[in-house]
Amino acid sequence: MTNYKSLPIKFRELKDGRTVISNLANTYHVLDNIQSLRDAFELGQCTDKNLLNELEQKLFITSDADFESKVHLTTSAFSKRINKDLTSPRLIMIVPTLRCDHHCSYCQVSRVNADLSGFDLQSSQIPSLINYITKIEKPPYKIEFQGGEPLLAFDFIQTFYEQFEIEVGKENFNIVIATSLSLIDESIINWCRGKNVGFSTSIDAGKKAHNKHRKLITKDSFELVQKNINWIHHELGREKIGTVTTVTRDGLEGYDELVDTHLALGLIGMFVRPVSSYGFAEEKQAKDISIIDFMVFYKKLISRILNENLSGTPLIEHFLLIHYKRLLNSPSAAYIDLMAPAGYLKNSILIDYTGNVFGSDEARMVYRKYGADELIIGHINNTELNLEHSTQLLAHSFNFDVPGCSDCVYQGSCGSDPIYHLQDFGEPIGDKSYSRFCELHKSIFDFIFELIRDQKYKNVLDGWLND
Amino acid sequence: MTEVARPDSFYVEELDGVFGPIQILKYRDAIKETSPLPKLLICESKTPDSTIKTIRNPLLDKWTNHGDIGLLNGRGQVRVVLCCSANANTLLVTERCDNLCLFCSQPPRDVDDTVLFAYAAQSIVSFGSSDVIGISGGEPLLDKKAILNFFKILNEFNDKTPLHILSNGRAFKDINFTENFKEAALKRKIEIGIPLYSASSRTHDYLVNSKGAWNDTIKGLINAGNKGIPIELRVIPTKANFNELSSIVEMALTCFNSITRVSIMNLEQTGWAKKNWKNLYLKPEFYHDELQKTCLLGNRFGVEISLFNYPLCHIPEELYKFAKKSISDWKNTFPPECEYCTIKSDCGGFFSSIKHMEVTPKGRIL
Repeated sequence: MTNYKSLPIKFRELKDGRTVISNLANTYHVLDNIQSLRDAFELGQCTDKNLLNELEQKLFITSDADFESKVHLTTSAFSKRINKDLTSPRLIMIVPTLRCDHHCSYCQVSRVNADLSGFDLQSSQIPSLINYITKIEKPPYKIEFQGGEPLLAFDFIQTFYEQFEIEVGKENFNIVIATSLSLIDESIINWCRGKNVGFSTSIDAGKKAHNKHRKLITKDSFELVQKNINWIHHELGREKIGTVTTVTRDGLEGYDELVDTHLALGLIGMFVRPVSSYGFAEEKQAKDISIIDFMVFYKKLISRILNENLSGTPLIEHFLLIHYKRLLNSPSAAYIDLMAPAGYLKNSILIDYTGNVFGSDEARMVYRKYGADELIIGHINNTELNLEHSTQLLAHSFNFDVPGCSDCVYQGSCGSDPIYHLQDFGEPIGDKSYSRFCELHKSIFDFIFELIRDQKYKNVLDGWLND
Repeated sequence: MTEVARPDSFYVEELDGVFGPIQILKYRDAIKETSPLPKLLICESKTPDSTIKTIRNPLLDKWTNHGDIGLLNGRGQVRVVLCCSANANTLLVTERCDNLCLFCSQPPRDVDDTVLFAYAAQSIVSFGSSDVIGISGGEPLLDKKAILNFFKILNEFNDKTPLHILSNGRAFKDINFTENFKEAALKRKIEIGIPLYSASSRTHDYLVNSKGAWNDTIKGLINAGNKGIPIELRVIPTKANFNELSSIVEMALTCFNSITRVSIMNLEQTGWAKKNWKNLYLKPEFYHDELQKTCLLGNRFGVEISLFNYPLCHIPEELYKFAKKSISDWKNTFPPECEYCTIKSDCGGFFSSIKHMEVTPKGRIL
């Protein structure tokens, strides 16, 4: 095909000079250099037959005869993708207490001391809570207990579980407790046996960084979390425990230690991202680590992990995998931050210790710090919904027509976080050229194209899709 | 032609001069006798019966079951079209088609055959299966009135037989028809098998030998998918399109909704494929990498991808798990060399129609 029409494309030059192109169908192709972009799309004088075939198959160019159908195919793919983001299930987060035994420097929820009163959701509220959940969402329910430290309110969790099981049936829900694990004991482990309950905990990049930021009076948070992960692993099973890593300035050299720690614990998954600028972290910890710093760390980390995989040790880094799945239009890549319209409200909801309902975890963080009442969308004790502001936020999170996103090559894979932008820019869109959110996700997408240039690394990532 | 796994055609002298479908019974059965088809009772003693035609025929008896459906051609030939013990059952509802695929295994004829739809509806209702029955042609959706009427009849009998309809999808470019079809068809489990042979009209229209076919099929796939009609996407690799196999599947899974599975079908050397064999058939060894790439797309999109009609010794070992034993028993065979192959029991074998069966039996190291 030498006579062809171009379909609309977006493009971005990578550091190595290659040029990524994409379209509304969210298919991607990497051209050798900017000149080949000009040849193919500006001058229309590309003569490389294989390239033209590939561009045609990926909906970048078309013959005259197929033009109309190619437009239909493109718009169909576009609607399919939006539909996927609109119909993913909703995560329901519950904060039974804001009290915490840790006093982490970067605490994003602005926790309070463990001995304070007035920061707990009362057990007497459980019937209203369950009633509220079953009204706003269909089974199967995905529930996450957040904190504070939820294990300080374990009675609440137990009572909730028992009543919720009666209400919706055991097969219809799954609970994850986000905890530092410092307070887990034998009675908790025994209670969890045979129940739909798992744990998500934090391991930061190396002992030094972990104990410096995840502060316990006993100064042994790092040792404690490893011991308790092992305990859960052996008593309840490997699938019952997952980890999240928050990277701070002090962890930038800890990539190998982080991998070693996970491997020593027999974990086969990890989730690593930089500290985000909410709560206590907004002024200091988030400012201390630039996305550039983080990416230097992250590239070393991923290189180690991929090489572990190549030498036969399975280990998946889920932050990378989610970005990879988004580039591939995989149906299972429903990550709240990488959705457009955003996951806010439509794919997540958070019930605070006050009974107030928020559209996301970040929304309650911002509310706690700045007290923006319009972020409260309701309360578990009544059916009134205040969605006016939230629907505005959602509308502005549709990155298809947002300045800085609309012409970005990664628009179809990326998402938007209206709450982050609201906090940092005073409005939900923000200036993407200064947005940490934008810089982070763009860097990860760029990094993936660097990585998969090497077929052996691409094979590892493709292998992760099995999971 | 080598021996097939299940013979399906028999000559029965007593049936000379009788046309159309009949239901075969092995004993009197009050429930089955209320179904719409005429009955044929096969039994030892040829006692004359006033209501049911009764014959004695050991061969037909051997290869049929109580309740099977036969189709009589008026010259004493009975073909068992729906058989309880078959590995797959398919009914032909028309011989007409708007595509003229170079590899068509059932070359179309432009004849008025709407009676076939009536035969099929009666047969399905009488057979009363809970297993899937295939509806094939010609193009089953060519006569839109006929297919809608076919479903109307089935629904009136409150029939719930799951159906798999093999269509070129062109009819679905008409969104109103798509809506009506969905309304009529989705009262049961259905799946539409729609082939897409290329990511462009050039190659697709060449292979189906019909200008405008690709554009229609693309619109059809979009409409049917958007309406929530479950679609099995089919691709047949040939010399003309083998190098875009994975691109076709990638495009389909990126763009269309409701794709339930993808089937890569090896050519069958029947019908027009015989005369075009040299121009079309490519040994799988020449496109192993494309097959591999295509099968890997299953993980990425969360859709099952299968290889149909590939004898295991024609594909690399990594792809065995994608290969299905797909050939219908009445045309399925294994050449003698397969006897000693260690993986024969996992293999789908060959079409009995194929001229030169290339076999590399996998041996044990002795």
